[in-house]
Amino acid sequence: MRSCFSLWCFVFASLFGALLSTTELQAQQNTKVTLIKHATLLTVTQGDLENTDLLIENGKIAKIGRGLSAPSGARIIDATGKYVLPGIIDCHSHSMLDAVNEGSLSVTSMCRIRDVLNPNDVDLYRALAGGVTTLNLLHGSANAIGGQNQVVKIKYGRPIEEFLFPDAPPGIKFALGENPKRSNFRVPGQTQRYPNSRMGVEEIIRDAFVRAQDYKRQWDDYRAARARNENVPPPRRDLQLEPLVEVLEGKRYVHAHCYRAEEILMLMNLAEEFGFRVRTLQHVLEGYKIAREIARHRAGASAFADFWSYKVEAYDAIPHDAALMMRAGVLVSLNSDDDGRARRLNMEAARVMKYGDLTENEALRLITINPAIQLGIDRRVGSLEVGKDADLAIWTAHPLSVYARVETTFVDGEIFFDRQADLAQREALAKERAELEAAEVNRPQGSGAPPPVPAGRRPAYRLGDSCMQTTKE
Amino acid sequence: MVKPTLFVQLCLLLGGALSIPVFAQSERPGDVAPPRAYAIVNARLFPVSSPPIARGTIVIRNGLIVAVGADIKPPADARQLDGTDLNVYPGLIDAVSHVGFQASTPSTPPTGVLRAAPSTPPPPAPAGALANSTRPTGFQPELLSAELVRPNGEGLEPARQAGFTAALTIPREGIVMGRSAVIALAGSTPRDMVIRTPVALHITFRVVSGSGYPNSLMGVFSMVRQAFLDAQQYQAHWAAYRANPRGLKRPPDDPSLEALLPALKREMPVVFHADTEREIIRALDFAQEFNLQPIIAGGREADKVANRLKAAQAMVLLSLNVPKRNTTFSPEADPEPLSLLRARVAALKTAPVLHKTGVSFAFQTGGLTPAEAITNIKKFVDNGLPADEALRAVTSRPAEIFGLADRLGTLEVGKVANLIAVRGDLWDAKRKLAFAFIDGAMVNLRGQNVSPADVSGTWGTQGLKLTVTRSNNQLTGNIRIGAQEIALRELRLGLDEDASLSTIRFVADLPRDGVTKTAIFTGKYHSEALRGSFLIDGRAEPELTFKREAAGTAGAADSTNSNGAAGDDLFDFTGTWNLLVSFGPQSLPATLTLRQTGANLSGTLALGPLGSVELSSGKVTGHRLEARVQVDFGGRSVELQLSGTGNGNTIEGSVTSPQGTAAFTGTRPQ
Repeated sequence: MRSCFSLWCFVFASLFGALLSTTELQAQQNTKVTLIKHATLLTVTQGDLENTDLLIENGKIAKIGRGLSAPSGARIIDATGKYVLPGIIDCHSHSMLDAVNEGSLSVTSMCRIRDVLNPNDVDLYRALAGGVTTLNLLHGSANAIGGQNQVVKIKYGRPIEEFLFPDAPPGIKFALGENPKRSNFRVPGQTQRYPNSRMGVEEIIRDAFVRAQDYKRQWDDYRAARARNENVPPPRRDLQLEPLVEVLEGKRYVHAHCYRAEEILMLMNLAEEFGFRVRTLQHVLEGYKIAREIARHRAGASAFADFWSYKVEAYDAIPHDAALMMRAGVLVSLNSDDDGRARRLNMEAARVMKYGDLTENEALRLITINPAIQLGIDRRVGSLEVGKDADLAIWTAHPLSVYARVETTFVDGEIFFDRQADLAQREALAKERAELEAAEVNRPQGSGAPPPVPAGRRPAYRLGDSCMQTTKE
Repeated sequence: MVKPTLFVQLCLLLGGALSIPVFAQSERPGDVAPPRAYAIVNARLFPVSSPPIARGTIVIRNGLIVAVGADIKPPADARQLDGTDLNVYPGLIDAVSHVGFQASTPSTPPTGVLRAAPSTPPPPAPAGALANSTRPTGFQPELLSAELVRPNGEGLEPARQAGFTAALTIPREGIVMGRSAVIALAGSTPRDMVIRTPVALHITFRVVSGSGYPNSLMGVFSMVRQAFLDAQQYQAHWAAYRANPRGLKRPPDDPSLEALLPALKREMPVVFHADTEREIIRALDFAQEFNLQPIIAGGREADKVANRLKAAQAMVLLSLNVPKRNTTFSPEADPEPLSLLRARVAALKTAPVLHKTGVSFAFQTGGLTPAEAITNIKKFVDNGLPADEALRAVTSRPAEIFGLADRLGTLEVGKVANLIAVRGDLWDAKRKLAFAFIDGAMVNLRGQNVSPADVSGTWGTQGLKLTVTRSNNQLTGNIRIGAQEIALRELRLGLDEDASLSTIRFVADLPRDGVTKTAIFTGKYHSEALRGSFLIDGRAEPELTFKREAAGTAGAADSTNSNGAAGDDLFDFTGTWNLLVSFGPQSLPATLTLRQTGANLSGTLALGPLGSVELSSGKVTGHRLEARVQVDFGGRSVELQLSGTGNGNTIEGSVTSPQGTAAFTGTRPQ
């Protein structure tokens, strides 16, 4: 009876069916103060500080220095020989989404990633185990203009509201090339639609912004008429055009999926024509060909290290892309676009360093402060600075080493992944599984349907970007 | 020559409504008697609104409950029903169902642009949905359940047979699915059935379209959000136009948007169909966004958001379809995820947690068969839900949630006479429904079917001997009092307009106080006993229990105690029996090959064109056999129940299918 009771307590405590370690850790999180001692701090913006302490108070980095002391009751971590890196920021992710693409229309700016978040996605926990703390959750690339993005902190095990990155500027996904034009493939069950060419992609974006300008004018006229005390009914609110008006007003960032140089030029020209700026070019495999133009437009670039040839428009890629763009003055970040790659973004940075002859600090910037700037959240995250959010991870070795692994990951000063706690809980999990499997509702039926084919296992690598999936897995 | 006709008869028995009367009158499934007065006496009453009454009487008249209590005298004109050993509950209410619609209700989204593959013709739009809606697929708030229900609609019969008497019903399809109605599960016209309409707007955030917008969950939210914004604008436009049309363009008339307005004004709740925690949270978020009054239907993980539900004053229409593993063990399969194992166990705690938190909830069948759903209530009770709360959740709570607490949900004077009498606990898997009333009319309970073969024979009690004989499906009989033999008149089995099928009724002129008086006997048949009483001059005489006496010539002397359960005097059915199954005026030959071991019976039934099928769960009690047969009919598996009484080398009995009953007689050639 007692074990049954404790089982129930457990089931309800782990609100989201999260791994046990999360629950256990939440119990420790009364400690508002954490002192990490004797670590090598890779601050990213202020150099590497050896044998230095870092004090976390109320979710913020309170002090950085040597010989810091903590009030009694504080959690003290001796990180001698270990490294502290700011939480990695993944500038292009489709984790925790119950839907990735609204693939019906070519302009789906009314769709919101916020509506379909799944805080239980175990890939979040795995990303934490890779030192990742912030994700830019993007709509897929099925449409020239996709849905609205959502930047989140990975507060795995918490209610959805706690994930939402405070004050992160809103964004929207655009896509160019093969995915939106769909002339090389058919999406099962869907009819071909306009556009079928890169020309058409340009036209449909232009058309959408012309409509958005017109919509903005309607509302401006209405407000003017109201100001004159005229009795006019308000125009219809159009959820498709509202975010595009925000883009025109510079209040919403455009994150554009793109590959080829000429389409990137096209989009930047089109944006300049309508008076806005593309915030980030995603994938941007041919960015090295037009790096100066990208820099002039002041677009950010978010690339892969060495992932290409998965489709025709991805054949002209080189592993020096990110480095060349960086040298030309483009703000460059790396992204995963994949739950698996998200766990080893540090290795992506190391590759770019190897190919492009970057400094260690330049490499680390690709996954920390640069994506933070691109997402407009660098005042809070992206580096180890006093006053910033305590989103960071303790690594066993330098994160650009293949031997490095994450010991502990903090988000807002709270531990959301801890390797030792995870290992310690495995026995309890096995015990819990045994108890649960004995429950009547979990016992296999004596007869009936044959067992289902096991769910498809995740392939070791994927041939292509994940942008065309409709739902995650 | 005869064969095709017989085949048609067989088809009717197995596949369609049994239109040829087996007995004197047709019993259409679902027929209920016209209202008159009934009194259930000596029953255990569960009024729900007050503590149970261990032994009481409930009187219903003209569709209403007119008296409930321990000391109620049944009125003389009321038909008395013996409630001994019965528990009487308010009629059950299914808080969400899809019953009562005709089978032709399309299974594909009815409105908007139909995007069926070119080879398949587009399904017809149902009455009630806008044919010319330009809204996206799945957006059909204008649809009204009340306009689609039919007295012979799908799902009504199994629900009635399980003890449900009313239900909230809404067609399954769509995203904004329409507006529901609470209906009585029986009635002679659609309008008779509708208790309240519209009750709530129903929304399921799900993908229904293959390729058109919206074809993802994201798009579904955007579509519904835009629709509610449009409705707000529609309302504002019309308000301005009505106030002063001069200088304003006339807004278009849009019944779809119009249907959203009561929800936006909080005059009508919105039922969000949501099971998982995040589905429920999304629904509550959406309700908050537009200041809607949310009700959650499904709610499998509602316990995890119980506090938020309470804060939002959201009620839950909790599904009784609790998850369980339905696959067999396979060593090759991946182990099930821990989250799934946890979820199944946690689902049993939903109702108890909601109760503890103070969230009002009612049960819905959740896609289970109604009978199975009721049995599942026990799982919640076993996990800590107080039994009285569980009973409320299928009676008074749904009535409260749907604004019908003044009419339904309890056994109180003045309420609608929806009630059920059950042998056993309500959620006991072995319970038997004895009576059910909907709007004061008795529901024809098919499970209690009794055939003429069952009652034919000799029955005796206290100096009375009742003999019932059968020829050509006509029952005749007489009653012996001492040496006097009195013929029975109007001998009927469940054929009276107001009798349940387990009832035997006859009229006889009996000597009383020196004169002959007309006595009406009403009784019930329980395999080896007939229990009932004579009604003379409107006054019921003490109850009599007739026991079956061995008929025939052989061994009549020593088998007066014909309690079949004794087991020693089992009839041996082993052998091959040639049967004639009667379908009205015609008969169809069949062969029954039986092998009996103790009280267990196995063998085959060869029934016309259906070929030979194996019997299952065959057993013998006394002279009586019972067995089941699964036959494959038109791609559908139909279960037939076989019962019969053997006597020497003759047998008589009946075959019961879900569609009706056919009697048979047979012989065993030596």
